[in-house]
Amino acid sequence: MNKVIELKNITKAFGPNVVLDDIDLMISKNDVIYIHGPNGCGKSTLLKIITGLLPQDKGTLYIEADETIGALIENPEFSNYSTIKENLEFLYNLKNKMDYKKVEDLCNRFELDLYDKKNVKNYSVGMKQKMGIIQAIMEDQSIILLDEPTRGLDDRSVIVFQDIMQELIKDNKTIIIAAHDYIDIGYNRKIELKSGRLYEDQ
Amino acid sequence: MRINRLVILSLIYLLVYIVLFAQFHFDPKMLIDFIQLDSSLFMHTITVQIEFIGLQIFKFCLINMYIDFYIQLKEMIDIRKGNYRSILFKQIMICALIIMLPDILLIRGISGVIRVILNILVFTVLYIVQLTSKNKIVFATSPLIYCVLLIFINQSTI
Repeated sequence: MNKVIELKNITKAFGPNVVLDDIDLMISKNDVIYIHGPNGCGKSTLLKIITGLLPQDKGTLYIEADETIGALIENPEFSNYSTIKENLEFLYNLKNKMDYKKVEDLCNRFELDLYDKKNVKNYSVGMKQKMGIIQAIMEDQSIILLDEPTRGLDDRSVIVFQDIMQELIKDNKTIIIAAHDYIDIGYNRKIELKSGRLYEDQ
Repeated sequence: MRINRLVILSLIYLLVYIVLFAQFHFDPKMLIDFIQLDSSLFMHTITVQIEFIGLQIFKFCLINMYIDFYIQLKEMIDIRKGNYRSILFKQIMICALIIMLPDILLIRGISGVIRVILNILVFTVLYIVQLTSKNKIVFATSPLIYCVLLIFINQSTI
């Protein structure tokens, strides 16, 4: 078993509200995990801790050094007064040189135009969500974390999303999806987050 | 391209100076005097006072329009383990140099050099304070504090 992420005794509280209570989780390479639970149960908090956006109060987080993380956390925020290309180009070029063909192809699959002259400000919630998914996977990241990825997507885009996820599974990516709407992409683990604790479905 | 946005904002800034230059009947000396106004500002007409203070506030607004791009993408930069602070600082320095270009072009002697260096330093520090502070009062007063400090710098480096 090739461990890529390990959370040990992670605790996170917001004031008196303990969202994550001493949780342990080990994620292996190629795991495809579905984390579910009611609104406000701490799914987003858990993903934010894994991505490093939020510090845990207690516990340790281990991420394999060679792994790269792509993530879509809650409502993706882009530069509203810039185009889709300006946004994605900047993010891609932070670490690598942008593969325009690949990003254009991803945009086309989601019926977005990479060379659209309109500012992102004029995009709908669904279009921004698609951009969020694209930015999370475009750089060939090895670990993909998606928080409510199908929120605001139409039926056709949900099918495109499922197809892309299945391609990523074939490419041996590690995928963690937190959502309360179940969309089957072929998970090998299902975990419920309830009252700050994780319960793995058998 | 981000460079396009920088060019557009620079052209807007240039336009403001062209309007000021026209207002001073294309007399370079009057424009230089205006840029380097010290405490004598308060002996000028209210229009000149408003223009001078307005120009300093405009500098902050112009940078905000540019830097906003990086602020909105902060979370995604952090996820990619990009150095957000370093990216932001580099962009602020580029903007500060563009904003100070008229002052740089008008450098006269050692005191002029000191004046420009102090001006860039004060502007950068105050802009970073404004950016990092979540306090609305700090956000609103930073350009005014810069204005007061600029008058002080101009006064002491004549």
